[in-house]
Amino acid sequence: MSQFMIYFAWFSVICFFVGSFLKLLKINNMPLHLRAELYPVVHDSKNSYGGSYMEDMNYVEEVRKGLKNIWVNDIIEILREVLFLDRVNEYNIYGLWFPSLLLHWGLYILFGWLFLSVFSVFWPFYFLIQLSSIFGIVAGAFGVLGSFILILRRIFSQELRLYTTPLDFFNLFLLLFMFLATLSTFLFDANHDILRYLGSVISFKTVNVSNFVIVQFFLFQFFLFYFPFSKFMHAPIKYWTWHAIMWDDALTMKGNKQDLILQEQLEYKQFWAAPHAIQGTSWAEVATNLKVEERGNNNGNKKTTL
Amino acid sequence: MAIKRPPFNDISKDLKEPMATIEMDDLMDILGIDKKEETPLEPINDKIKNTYDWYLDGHIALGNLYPPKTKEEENELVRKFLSGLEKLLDPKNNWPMLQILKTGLDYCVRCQTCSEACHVYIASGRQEIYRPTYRIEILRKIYKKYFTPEGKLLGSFVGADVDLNWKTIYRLAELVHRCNLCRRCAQRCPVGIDNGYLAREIRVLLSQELGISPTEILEKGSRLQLTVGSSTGLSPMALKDYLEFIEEDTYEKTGVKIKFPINKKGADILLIHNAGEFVSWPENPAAFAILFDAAGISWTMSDEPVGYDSINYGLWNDDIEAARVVLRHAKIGKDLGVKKIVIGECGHATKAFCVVGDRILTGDLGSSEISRESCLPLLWDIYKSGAIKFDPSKNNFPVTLHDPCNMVRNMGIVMPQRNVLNAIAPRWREMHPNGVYNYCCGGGSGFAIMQGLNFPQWRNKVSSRMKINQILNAFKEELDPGIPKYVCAPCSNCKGAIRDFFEHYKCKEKFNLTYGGLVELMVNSMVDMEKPYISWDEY
Ligand code: SF4
Ligand code: SF4
Repeated sequence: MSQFMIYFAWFSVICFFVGSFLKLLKINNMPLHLRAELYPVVHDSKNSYGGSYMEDMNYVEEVRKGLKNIWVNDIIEILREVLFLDRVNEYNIYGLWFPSLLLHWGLYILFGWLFLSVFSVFWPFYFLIQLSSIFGIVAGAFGVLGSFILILRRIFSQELRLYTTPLDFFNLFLLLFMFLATLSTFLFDANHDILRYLGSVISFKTVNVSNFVIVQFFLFQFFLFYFPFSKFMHAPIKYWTWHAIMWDDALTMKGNKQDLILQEQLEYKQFWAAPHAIQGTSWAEVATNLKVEERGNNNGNKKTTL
Repeated sequence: MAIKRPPFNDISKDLKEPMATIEMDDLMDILGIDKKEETPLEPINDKIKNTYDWYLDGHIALGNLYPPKTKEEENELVRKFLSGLEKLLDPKNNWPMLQILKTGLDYCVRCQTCSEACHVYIASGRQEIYRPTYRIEILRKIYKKYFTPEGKLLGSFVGADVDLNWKTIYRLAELVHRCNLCRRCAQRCPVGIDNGYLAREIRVLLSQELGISPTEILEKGSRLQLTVGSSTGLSPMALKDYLEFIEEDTYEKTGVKIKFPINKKGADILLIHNAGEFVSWPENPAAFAILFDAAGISWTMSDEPVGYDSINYGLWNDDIEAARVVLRHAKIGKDLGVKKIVIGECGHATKAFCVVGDRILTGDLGSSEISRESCLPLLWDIYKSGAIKFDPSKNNFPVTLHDPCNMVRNMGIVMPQRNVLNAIAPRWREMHPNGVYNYCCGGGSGFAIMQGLNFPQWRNKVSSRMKINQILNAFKEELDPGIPKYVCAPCSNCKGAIRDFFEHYKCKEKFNLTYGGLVELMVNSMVDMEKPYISWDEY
């Protein structure tokens, strides 16, 4: 096994964590958006029927006193989707739920396999090694089946095919081959080299391992490296699309942090060019002014509208 | 069958036929209405064919959008579209929605789980171009092609394969006006992508950068409101006449004397109606006045320009116009020294002011300083206070409730209106699905007011189709025209859409259906009212 695989292993792990972190940080640091909540907002105490604090008269007072939000619901709802793909199960009519579930669980178990395998390098207990092998085989089987059915579905469903880009197929084939390689390592009895490979990566010492293991880890490491730049990131994104956007019902109160952020954002300059916009002014200015020629044209005896 | 699956790049091509055509056979069935008896589809006329680019679906929402005449004009359009998209992707020019846009563009996994939520898509017979993802996929392809390194390098491999020319822009502009922005699809997306709001982002680009918007929304909508005072064209002086007329008319019909309080400083509540109510449904603001007076509420209206019209069409396509209207409303309330501003029965206006406005109004105009609320909780509070005696038996007719998307799915105001109906309408029943999962009336996002060319035909046949079917199903045991039935729609825009499709499907003659708000039902059941308030003959 060449030095390349050792460095590639570390590089891919660093890319996976740092790349994902930076990507998510970038999303997280985007400006505070306008409220765009969509009910049911799961942390609302009335979430069972999709109600909100705005159902109450004087809700501002209620908010001031403190709402009884059930924040754990945000986590539970995200986990339900991550673990069981609830919405896909309930609403997808293209038969994507079962293969997607297999594929997702294939990935989760694959990470479990890696975790257990690394553990086994340090503590090579028989039980741990056996367990990691089981994880590896199950991950491989689930992943192969899931990605293969998904590829077929996307080829044979007219509706899905229209939307599936070559890159989407590339991603699915990448997963298929990665899981196939994982499964092959076990089927062709090369799995005993897995710990040797991981040990060599950890100790930076090259060793000879089976080609099955090299292919398996090459694909897995490529997956890790590629993850932050790909659509695979849709998993952690839910925290933002759901928790930080669709369930963000936080009210602006004078002087609170949100109020100050918004005041700053209203000072951003905007350059929209339509006739009714005023290019180069801040949001606060454009919101409180009309173009000069539009002012005072209100037919009545009242002062100008803005 | 005319279900077509046009490849995305058709949007930019010279075509001989529209990308999709509406045909009766494809449309969803409606309970109690035989397709053969339905108003037939008008063929696309020569005026449309000769004047517009009609190759999306033969219908025109943007009657003010004429094809460019010269190559320079064509190039200018493309240049502006790209500069608009660049601004849409910029944190300063588009702080209001950037996070929603970027996550939506980058992380859709194209699973199509969202599609079956869409009433437009389903009612059309699942016409591909109306799928929630179709229009967004086109935007995504343009974005990839011009704004991502992978799109520039790898082109069609990553899906960056739609040509951008004036036809792309015009057809996309039409296509984003085939979405009601109801956000029902977003409830179902496993990733949290909001195709409704993404469609709105395309509208924002068109409006804020190119000034492209249906006349009724921008030129005769927000612009008129901000310069004249109301999108209806009502000036403060004309408003005075209307209010006097409503006062007299109410007295004549009911014997109840009302006087709209105007600019009453220090009142508890500033009530702002959609000014369309004064013009089209004067019994609605009159009912508010009857209820508020009977309940002893301290309230006022304003006759300041903008202050007597709650509408905020910027909600549908323009953050600049939205911010202007929100600020104006809040300042008027602040100047009057009221404790809170309440929006009458108008969904989009309520959401624009209470929810969207919450991140535009800061400091002294923030929610903590002047509260902004929907009228529905207040109406339930009036009932609960016991200040007015109601007799539910006066509402002894079948009633169903329409949930306006903006107040229900988008604000979570679900129960107050139901509590009121439970108390005053013994024969009311839900339509299905309902509450936050309800379908749009088909008039959302401006469609209710867009009356140009053949667009109303598309709206009535396609986007309102699910709603009429839902209504008729709610009354399926009592469709007999001998039984008068009431659709309670506490929203001006929804009422506008319902008015039109009731006429289109001849609902008065066939089923004896009428519609109106919640306040009319409340006043109708007031013990003190000598005559019925709801008139069954008009709509
Ligand atoms: S928007 Fe969501 S549900 Fe629709 S195709 Fe994309 S990921 Fe799937
Ligand atoms: S927002 Fe509503 S109308 Fe638009 S695509 Fe989604 S479900 Fe359909």
